Amino acid sequence: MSGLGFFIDALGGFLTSPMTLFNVAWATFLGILVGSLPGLTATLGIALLTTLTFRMDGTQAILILICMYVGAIYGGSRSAILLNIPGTPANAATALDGFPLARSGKAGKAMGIATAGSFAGGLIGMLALALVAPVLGDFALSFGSYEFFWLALFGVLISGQITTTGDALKGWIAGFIGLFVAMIGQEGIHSYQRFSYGSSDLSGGIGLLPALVGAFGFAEILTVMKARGFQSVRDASDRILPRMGDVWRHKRTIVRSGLIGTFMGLLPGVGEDMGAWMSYAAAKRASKVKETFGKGSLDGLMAAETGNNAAVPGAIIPVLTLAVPGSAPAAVLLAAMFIHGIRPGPMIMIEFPSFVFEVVAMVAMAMFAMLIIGLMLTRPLLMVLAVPRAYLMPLIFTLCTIGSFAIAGRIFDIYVMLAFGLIGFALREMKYPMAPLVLGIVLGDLLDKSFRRGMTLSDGDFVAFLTRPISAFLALACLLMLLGAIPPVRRRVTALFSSLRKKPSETPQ
Amino acid sequence: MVDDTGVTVAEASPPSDQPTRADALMGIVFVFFGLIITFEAWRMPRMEEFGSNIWSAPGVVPGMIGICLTLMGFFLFMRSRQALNIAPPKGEPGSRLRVLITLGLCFGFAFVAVGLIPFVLAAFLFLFSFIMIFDLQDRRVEGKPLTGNALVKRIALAFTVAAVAAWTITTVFEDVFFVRLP
Amino acid sequence: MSIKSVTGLFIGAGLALGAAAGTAAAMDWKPEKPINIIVPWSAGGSTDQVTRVVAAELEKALGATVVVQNQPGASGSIGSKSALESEPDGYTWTAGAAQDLGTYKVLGMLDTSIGDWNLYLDVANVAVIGVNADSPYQTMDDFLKAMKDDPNAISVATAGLNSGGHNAMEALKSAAGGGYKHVTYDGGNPAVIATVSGETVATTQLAVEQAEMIRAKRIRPLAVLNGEPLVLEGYGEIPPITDFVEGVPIAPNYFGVFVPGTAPAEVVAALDKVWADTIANSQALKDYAAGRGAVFAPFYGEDAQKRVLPAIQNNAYLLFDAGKAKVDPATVGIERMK
Repeated sequence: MSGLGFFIDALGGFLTSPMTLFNVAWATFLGILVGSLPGLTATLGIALLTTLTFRMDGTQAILILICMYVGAIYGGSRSAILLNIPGTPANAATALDGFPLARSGKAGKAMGIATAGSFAGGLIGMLALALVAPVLGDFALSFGSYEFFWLALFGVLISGQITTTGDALKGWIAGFIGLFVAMIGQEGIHSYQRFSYGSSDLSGGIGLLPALVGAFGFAEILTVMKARGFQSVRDASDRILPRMGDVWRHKRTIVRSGLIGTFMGLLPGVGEDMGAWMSYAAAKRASKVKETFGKGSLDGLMAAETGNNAAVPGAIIPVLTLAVPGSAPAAVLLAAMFIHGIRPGPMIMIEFPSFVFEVVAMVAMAMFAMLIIGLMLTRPLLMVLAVPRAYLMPLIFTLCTIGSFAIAGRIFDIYVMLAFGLIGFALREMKYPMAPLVLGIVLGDLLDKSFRRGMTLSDGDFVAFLTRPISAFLALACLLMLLGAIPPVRRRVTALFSSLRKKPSETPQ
Repeated sequence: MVDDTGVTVAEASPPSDQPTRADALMGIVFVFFGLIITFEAWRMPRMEEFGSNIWSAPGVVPGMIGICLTLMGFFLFMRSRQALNIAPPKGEPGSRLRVLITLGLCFGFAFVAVGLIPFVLAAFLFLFSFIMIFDLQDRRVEGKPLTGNALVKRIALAFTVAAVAAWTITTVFEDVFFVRLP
Repeated sequence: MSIKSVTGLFIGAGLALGAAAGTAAAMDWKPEKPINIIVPWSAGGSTDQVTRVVAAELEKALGATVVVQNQPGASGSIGSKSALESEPDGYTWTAGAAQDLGTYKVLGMLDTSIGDWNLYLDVANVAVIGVNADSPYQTMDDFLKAMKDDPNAISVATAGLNSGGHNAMEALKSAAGGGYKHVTYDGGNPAVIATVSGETVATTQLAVEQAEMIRAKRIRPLAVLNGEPLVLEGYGEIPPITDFVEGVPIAPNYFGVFVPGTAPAEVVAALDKVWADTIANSQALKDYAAGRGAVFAPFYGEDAQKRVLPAIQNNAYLLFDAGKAKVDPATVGIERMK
């Protein structure tokens, strides 16, 4: 098997070169830093390093970029757990259980579990990349406009459902507000400026990152400052290195989330965010203690972090085999490969066979660096919890402001951050979850274009959205979720199932 | 699958589907919001005259989103309309004031000062005033107000933290991330 | 470790790079601070890629840091606007396709015309008519016949209304007759993938975007929208459209770096020199172009202005005739191409 040979060669080369190890260390560390600061994202970090590594040798440059990518997606979990502010959109699901764990004195344990999950997810994605990349790449092609429409709708509905405790209505309202926000600005099919009213800032649309930083960051600051007394938490974890037994207990969640995450990463335009959400939803569904989800479930935290990190190698698969990025950071990675004279695409296995396995080795390096540096950073990061709010909150707000601005250098993005902070705070006070809103902004464009494109392709015949197997399956899933939310239906279905399970003969008339 | 957390969250939150007065009011707001979106979507050009498929018109999906929001607002209202007469629960004393001060400081910094004065100065002023106001207030609430020498030391600390943080953040973004700050 | 120590590491890496770039030629203009190139499209796109290659060459030649900043939105008009309204000190530029910059005024998006900018071109891209490898269209003649017989069966993927792909298809239609079903995607690559997966029959996106799929035989190139054949490494020769149809308006799509006309004269003079000396001989840029199916085009000044005009005329009247233009191109000095 020559693939394994290429892989071992590449890994051996990396491990014996001090310069490579140094690059891996600083790039991963910087990635974790970029990921954990609200407003700085994997995309920004990779784009910045693309320019800085331009004159390096191609392999070193790509290695540094992959380390940045892996580090940033992982780093976003730190602020999600410690501060309830996801560092990147991919970590919104992490905050659901990570933050309650931190508030109950288990931040160290939560970060340990998140690190283990990230590492395991990355390994599963890496295996997929090494073993079946061409097959998976072609499988991504079976997702066309019809499938993407349903997938986007399903994503918004499921995140609305799992972030609410009672019924899903408020989650869905938040999700649809997010979808509406995504409609603002110039649309891509007719270049018509929707809901812009002549403002050139609005015609560019509402940026996802400023909205995220506002709805999670600024709104969280307001929530913290509102409380009369604020108890800083002392971490009570006995140890921060996760025990093998603790991790092993979640083996099913890890494998399931790793596979789901890899698959979500594969699909263009879906990426790490959906990797986390879908894994989280699946874990909740499979769990016997569903009620602990959202209140500090280790299983939920494990699912979210495994899912989003598995999506990283997942998103690299179509970059290599189709030259199509599975996510925004992967798009920059693809560009960097082109710039360094590597031409990913269906010919890569013929033209540059060793490169694919070099990339697998790079992902492996990044994953191990993330594991080591991540665990080393846990203790110092726990000190954040002890900082009084009067010091911590203005610092975070300064970062939120500068981060929103840094994305594109636009003052308008600061205003977007402020507006979403206000809206987010008000909605949170009324028990609307914020995560579906952000996911709605992420998926709105995909939903809009897929629907209209699909209708163009089918000449206005909606039946075409239902006839292909994958889209029929997704449509059915959406329908069942909607029906399940209608109280009489839900009650009857539950009653039916429980009566069937007990004694079928005693079913009341 | 076993979950070993058995966690008790510090602030136990009431279930989100307990109807409240705010829900009923927001239901009405969402109905109107949805209707406005739908109306605005209706007004968008249909693009038929250029030979495009009517289903590819810009207003199609916003219109559907508007209708969905209207429906969901309606359900929310119907579900919680009995709660209209229940008075909203009283918040903690002073919480409204703290939120307003936070808002004032944050907007003063991000909305007014950024772009008007150099970023590092704006950040310093914001950090310093935020820390001073809330540090002293939190200490009063905890029953440990500061006086005399201790107060001066505390002010010096706030000053140092604000200055170092403002400088570090500005430098990192300008020189490491190459952001041109306003 | 703390934030500070990583800063140290990072600046260290930056210095190492700076030292490598220390061989700047003597210039009248010495940049005193980093130069910003605003790419008005997302990171990773075709403008972004070529601009980063050029930025690295410029760093070497000018001995200054060149920062590429992505400011996407509204067909690139937001980022272009930032560059237009920046301080006229010559430190903020933009990049992209000249045909976009030249038609923002017609679209009512931005009050600027191509003459307001100093153009520094790097590559030109040509459109290729490519069909799914499993489709029944073996030659350009098959394709042209189908456009006339059953226009609804010819679904064509492009990157949007004012993309190079749509311009190419409209140009073909105007000369050959018939029709097609226009399906737009979020960019050139997604449009190409839609053709590979069979969601659409054909794509008319740029050669750079189709190159890999053509080499892998998943897209069959029928013709290149140019006056001469295109030789693609690893595939061979793609025949020019002029072999099949007469009178197709040909307009190469030039990409480049654009400096606002308000920039100080010494900046313009320095850049003219860099373009004539460094960029025109840049091996990195030549390699990039050859590998991606683009045409190396290191033009600047008056020459550049003349070269980009046909694509702007083409694009402007295409938009105008489709009812998408807010302003009649004739009123802003863009004449219809003969």
